[in-house]
Amino acid sequence: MNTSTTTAAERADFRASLRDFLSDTSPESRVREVIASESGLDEATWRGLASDLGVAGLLIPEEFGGQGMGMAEMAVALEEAARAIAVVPLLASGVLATIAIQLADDASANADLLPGLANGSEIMTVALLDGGGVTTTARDENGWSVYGSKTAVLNANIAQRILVVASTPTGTGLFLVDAKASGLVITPQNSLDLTRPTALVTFEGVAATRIGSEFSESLNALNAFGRIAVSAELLGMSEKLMEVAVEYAKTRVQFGKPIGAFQAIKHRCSEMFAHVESMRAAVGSAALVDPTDSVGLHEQALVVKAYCARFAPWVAEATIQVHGGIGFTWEHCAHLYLRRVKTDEILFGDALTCRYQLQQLLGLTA
Amino acid sequence: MEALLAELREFLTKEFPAWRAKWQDSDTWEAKLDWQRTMAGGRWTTATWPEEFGGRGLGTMEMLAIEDVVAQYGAPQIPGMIGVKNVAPTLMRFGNEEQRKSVARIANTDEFWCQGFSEPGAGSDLASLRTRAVIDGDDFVINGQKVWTSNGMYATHMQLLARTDIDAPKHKGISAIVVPINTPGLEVRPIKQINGGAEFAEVFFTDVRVPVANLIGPLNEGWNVTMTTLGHERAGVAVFAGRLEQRIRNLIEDVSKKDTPVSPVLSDGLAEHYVESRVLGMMGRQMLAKIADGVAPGSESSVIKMVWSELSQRVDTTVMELAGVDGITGDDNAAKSGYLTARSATIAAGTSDIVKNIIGDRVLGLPRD
Repeated sequence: MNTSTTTAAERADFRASLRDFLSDTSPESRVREVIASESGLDEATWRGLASDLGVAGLLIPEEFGGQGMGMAEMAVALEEAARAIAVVPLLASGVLATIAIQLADDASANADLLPGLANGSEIMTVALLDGGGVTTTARDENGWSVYGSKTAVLNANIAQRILVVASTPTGTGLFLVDAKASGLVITPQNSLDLTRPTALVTFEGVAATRIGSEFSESLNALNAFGRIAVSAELLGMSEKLMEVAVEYAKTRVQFGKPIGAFQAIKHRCSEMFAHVESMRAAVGSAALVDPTDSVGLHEQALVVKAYCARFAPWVAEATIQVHGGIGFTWEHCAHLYLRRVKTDEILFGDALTCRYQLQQLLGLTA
Repeated sequence: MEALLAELREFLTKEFPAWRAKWQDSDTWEAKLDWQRTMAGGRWTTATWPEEFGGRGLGTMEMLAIEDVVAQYGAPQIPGMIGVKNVAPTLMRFGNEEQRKSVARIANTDEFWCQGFSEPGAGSDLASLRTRAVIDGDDFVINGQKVWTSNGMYATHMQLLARTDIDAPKHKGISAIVVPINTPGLEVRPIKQINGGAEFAEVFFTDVRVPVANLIGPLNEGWNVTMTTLGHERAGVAVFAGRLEQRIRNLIEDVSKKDTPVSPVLSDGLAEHYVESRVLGMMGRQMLAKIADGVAPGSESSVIKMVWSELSQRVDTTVMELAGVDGITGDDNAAKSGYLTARSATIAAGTSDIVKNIIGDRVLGLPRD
């Protein structure tokens, strides 16, 4: 992936076309249909995003069929897709798998895998988190085999292939497995987030292809990009929720006036606005960080995630509070956002976890 | 810009040690006034003023860069900030020929101005002020009371806001008037603050007579006359944001060098401050970048003011926690007085509660109460 080179005005145009497209293809009614179908994928929206708008390949160099862009452009796409709570594997496939492959720095893997990801014809996901406290390992037995289990694997049920981060006898490696491979079992989880199902994936000696060599440094970078990416989602959702809450505060009348005239509600809305603007500044700044500056990337990613993971859930919860009873109903959109917000809060470390890492960085703790 | 800052550094390298040598560690008013005269001599405090008024005609970005360099040298802030930043620009724009003569005297401290705005019954709701100015022949006759008048104890002149039309809607019946502090019937008393300082005064008017010619701008237009120049202060909050970010970096560096580690809870609190101050700093820099591109800042200044005041207050609370028992004995006097002073962060220049109303009403378009 490249350093972002577009201007703010160009990104604003890109945002406008994404918002237009998503409001047509992924209105809340469509999101609810897809959720009910349990397919976990809004195919029309994904096709449009991937092939017509080039979003799946934003982070992929042009030589592999992508757009050759950077995180600043991808942050816009993530914000808008999350704003529409679109049921698409943008984070899993377009960001995490795409970045993991490029970080592994394996020329043949780039040539083999990136073109399919760039045009959206292939969906991949990355299995990062060990399940059940057992380390997932890879052994070289005349070819690599993976053992163990991974939890909270995003969009595993629609991925054709899965990238697995596993321990090797000498360190950490990135491995590619087929989702239908023998010994691999995908068990859908009862996920909090209805728009982006997770699964438990178990590996009992699954045949794997190793990509690149030692992956531990790359894993740090992958986690940093992951933090920036979910922060962009948190920003997009918080902005939408604030608008929904403010609109309701203007129209809902109690005690003879719109509830937004009451300071208890007004101040809550103003605080939402302050947090959304803060998130916007933080995401905008982190997404423009030089991707090759590993120290700056690590610090900015922790800062932006620590902020967004703390305040986006606050905005989502405040939105429900402003709505009162209607906000607690299944038919209101607030819980669909709250579920995805809470999920993004946890992915790549919640606020406390990020702050703990910052304490280490700042010399406050050993 | 580089040539400008090089000139400034050359100026400070020569003048600041000379001023230090002259006044030693003295923190007196006279010493600060002398520093303002020195800075005015180099046209540094007045850099944003037009050249015809003895300024350099520079923009906001240059002024912020100048202030940064001055802060790097550890030089004090000039005491006559209100006169230089608020009163003089108002007089340049709205003052008559006589009033404009004050501009140069404000720069060199021959005149020292305060602004008579807040009243006991008009704080956040400034426009409800009740100090009256009634025209009697060629004079205004002024009766009433002002409070929280910054530097009131040192002022030679006041830019007064008084009600000149009691029948008009509250913003429309106010006039801005020049009142020399030595006018008979005017009494200034210091207000002792919770931190022991007395930077503010209350000012009492009993049949104070000043010529009608002392009116600044048109009659009953005092609200607009004054608010226009208050807008000049807005970019300043972006600088506050950057300074708070640096302050927290310094605080964390000090704590990390201590032999005994702080508790995990306090350590997490510091990391929390770090996160919020980094984000605030990013917001500040983005606002400055907008100004540099010639885009007028919008809601950012209100948001930054709100976030800054609440965060800086929490930081002073943390400093007090770090001080522990030394904070209550006064052995750590900086922590003690910092904690007390920080109460004003969410009150001065618009309470946080009012800023939240302003964001709700003007930015989000929520209905007014």
